[in-house]
Amino acid sequence: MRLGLQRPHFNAYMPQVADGDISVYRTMDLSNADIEVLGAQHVGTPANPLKGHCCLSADAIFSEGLNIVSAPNPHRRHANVTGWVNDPKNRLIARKLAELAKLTVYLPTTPTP
Amino acid sequence: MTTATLPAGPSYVLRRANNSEGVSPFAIQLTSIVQDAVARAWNTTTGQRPGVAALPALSDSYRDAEAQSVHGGQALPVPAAMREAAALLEALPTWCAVPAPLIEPSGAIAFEWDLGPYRWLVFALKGTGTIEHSAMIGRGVELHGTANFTGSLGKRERDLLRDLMQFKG
Repeated sequence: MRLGLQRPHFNAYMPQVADGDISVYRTMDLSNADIEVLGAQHVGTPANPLKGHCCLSADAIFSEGLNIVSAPNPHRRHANVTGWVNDPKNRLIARKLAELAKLTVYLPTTPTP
Repeated sequence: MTTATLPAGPSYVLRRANNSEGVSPFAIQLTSIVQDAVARAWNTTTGQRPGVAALPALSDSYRDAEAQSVHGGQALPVPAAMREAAALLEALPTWCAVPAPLIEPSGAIAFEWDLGPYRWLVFALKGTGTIEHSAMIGRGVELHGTANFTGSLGKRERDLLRDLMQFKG
């Protein structure tokens, strides 16, 4: 995360497999609180809760030659960003996406004794 | 602008690091490999090498990646990548700034210099005998490529580092 800059690090948008996908959720019409609940239910775990989320316009994805494909499992809002190729250029794309993304950091929860 | 107004805005959810989890033998191996290499560099120079200063952050990055790997979406570096990372840290010239290490979701070990919007360079190592570079050095100047890596910096990588450090915008 780039906390001081209110944007994520480019690593947040790097695919696990160089020519693979990244997993996202469509957050149109959702509040930050709704997104936090969605993430807690389908992404985070009690042992590994979420730090936050970052939002980005779909246009930014399309303008980098990538696509968004609906993948409604585990949730109807889930999708994959596809179109990555196995190339170091991925980092340049990921950095541009991160520059345009808005970062929301969750308040840390107090651990239960 | 709020998230609610974004048209079909994809949201990437960030996991919380859990550094309190146990340290695996793999992490110990990483630390050992890199510490040995940096110790050799330390003994051969009078000044502090950038690789020495990057070591603690590399260990932190590894622990974060290890915690996230439990739930998928994050691969851990292979031992060959660790050895290459150690070699790169050892090979960094003393005149370059300290890089920020990170473990990419693919398990590649990357070293990043983020010196401004148009002064940015990443070297990444996957344990395949190659080094990848991705860079923006100057407005609109995007560079990326792959070269063989046998433990020392090639001319291309040294030139990129020099250009990055000298670029005035």
